[in-house]
Amino acid sequence: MKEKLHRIQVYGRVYKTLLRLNVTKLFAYRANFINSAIAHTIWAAFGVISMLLLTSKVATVYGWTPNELMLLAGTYNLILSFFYFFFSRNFGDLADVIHFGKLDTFLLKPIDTQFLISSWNVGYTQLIRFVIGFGVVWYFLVHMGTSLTFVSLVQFMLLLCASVIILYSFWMLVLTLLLWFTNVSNLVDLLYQINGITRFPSEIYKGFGMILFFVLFPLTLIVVSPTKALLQQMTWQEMLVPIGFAIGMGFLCRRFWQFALRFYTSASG
Amino acid sequence: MHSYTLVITNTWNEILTYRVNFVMWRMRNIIQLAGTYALWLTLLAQGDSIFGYTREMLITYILGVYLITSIVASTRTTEIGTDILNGNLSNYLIRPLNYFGYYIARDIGDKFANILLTLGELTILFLLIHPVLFIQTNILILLGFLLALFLALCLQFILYVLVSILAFWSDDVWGIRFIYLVVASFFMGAYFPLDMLPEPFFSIFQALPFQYLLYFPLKIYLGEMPLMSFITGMLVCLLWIIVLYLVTKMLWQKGIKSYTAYGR
Repeated sequence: MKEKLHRIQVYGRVYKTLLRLNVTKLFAYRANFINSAIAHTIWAAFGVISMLLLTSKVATVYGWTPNELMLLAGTYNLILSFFYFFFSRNFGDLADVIHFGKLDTFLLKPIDTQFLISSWNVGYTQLIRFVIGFGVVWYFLVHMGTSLTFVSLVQFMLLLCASVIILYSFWMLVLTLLLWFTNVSNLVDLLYQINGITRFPSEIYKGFGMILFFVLFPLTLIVVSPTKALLQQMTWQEMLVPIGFAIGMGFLCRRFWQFALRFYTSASG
Repeated sequence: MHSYTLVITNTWNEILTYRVNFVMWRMRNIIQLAGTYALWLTLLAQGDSIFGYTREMLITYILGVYLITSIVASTRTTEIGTDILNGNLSNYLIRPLNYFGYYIARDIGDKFANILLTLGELTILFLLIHPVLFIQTNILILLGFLLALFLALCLQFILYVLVSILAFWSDDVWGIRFIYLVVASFFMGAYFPLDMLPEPFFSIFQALPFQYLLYFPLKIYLGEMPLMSFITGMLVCLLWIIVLYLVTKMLWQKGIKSYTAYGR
């Protein structure tokens, strides 16, 4: 127990150092930061504007009112801002890291490789997206007259964590395939596009057949579940589904990564 | 001319070499289409029409966006920025080849592959979900549509080059390009037909060149462009092409003087 606690402290210290190093990087490449910040702000703003427009002419969409759909759009930005802040830039680099044999450097360090490849880069520009998402959520909660209770806030926090874990595990599971197919560098672009699926209620995909619907099901939980918690429409029993998925997928991605590492042959392999 | 034909063939072969990457790129587009299609279908389920668009008009617009984007947006000019930044541009400047002609040829090869696959994907989609489409039968309108599409190709090429050559002055050409893509996709009507916007915004969008990349050709195809608006639109689009070409040429000439070819 004492050793485990010590390890957690070590990892905490390493992450703190990485956060600091990323701030230095941020100031070193200021133009990149500004461009990226502008792009992400526009991206998030356009998403919200599109949703505002699309929902302006409908009474409900599968039981969701236009205001609730806007809350969904806000939560989508909020969750993605967390995921992109902590992980997505690392996943963006993973194809190159594996393809050019740079993974050797990570493997040789006395620290867990999965932790390191997932936390090396931090996307500080996502803080802007977080502000936009938070603003939209806050505005529509007030607009709808929904007051947050302690229970709904706790549920929301738990589900937010579960959502980020599901998203992380899904990306990690797919990108682990790069250890075999090192040339597929634009797999990440595909994953970014898949993220877009999560911003709508799952029912809208029913037209594509039940198989696809069930494949997409865990992904559509990512945004829908925390939003339902904010709307106080989530029971503790219902929360078990996304939390169960998060635990299951987290476990699966960890095992799959460890299994796949055996097949890593480095650049000269 | 033979050199450029070779460039087209080489681009095609390159795509065939990196097949999985290309398939991934296509899958990305399919997912985007599936999301948009599902959303609009859900919204259309509320009534016979939405924002004045009937079901068949809107579905034609959505699938039209998919097809035209694959023609207009597919490009290899992304490499221009990299060429400038890593000094690779020097290799092209010393060859008896027009640098932009080379990229036009590369774009043709790339567009051919994208068009072929898009048509294949749309055929599968038709067989699976039988969408109700608006088929334009007026030959004159179809000719007008093709002309607008050609102008859209020219305009997009110039805009892409303009963004790419900013690499002469900034090492973050990826960021600038990403901003351009985000802005252009929104303003060209890739997410929804622009006339769905409330009036002051619609007028602002119409004053920009982006609508000629997608919204304008599609409205012509749907037969919703009166003759006068068509002629005015074509002339304004032509004017944009000329102005942006001159700006691009001027920037290129300035940039090439400041080009240092790092490490070469």
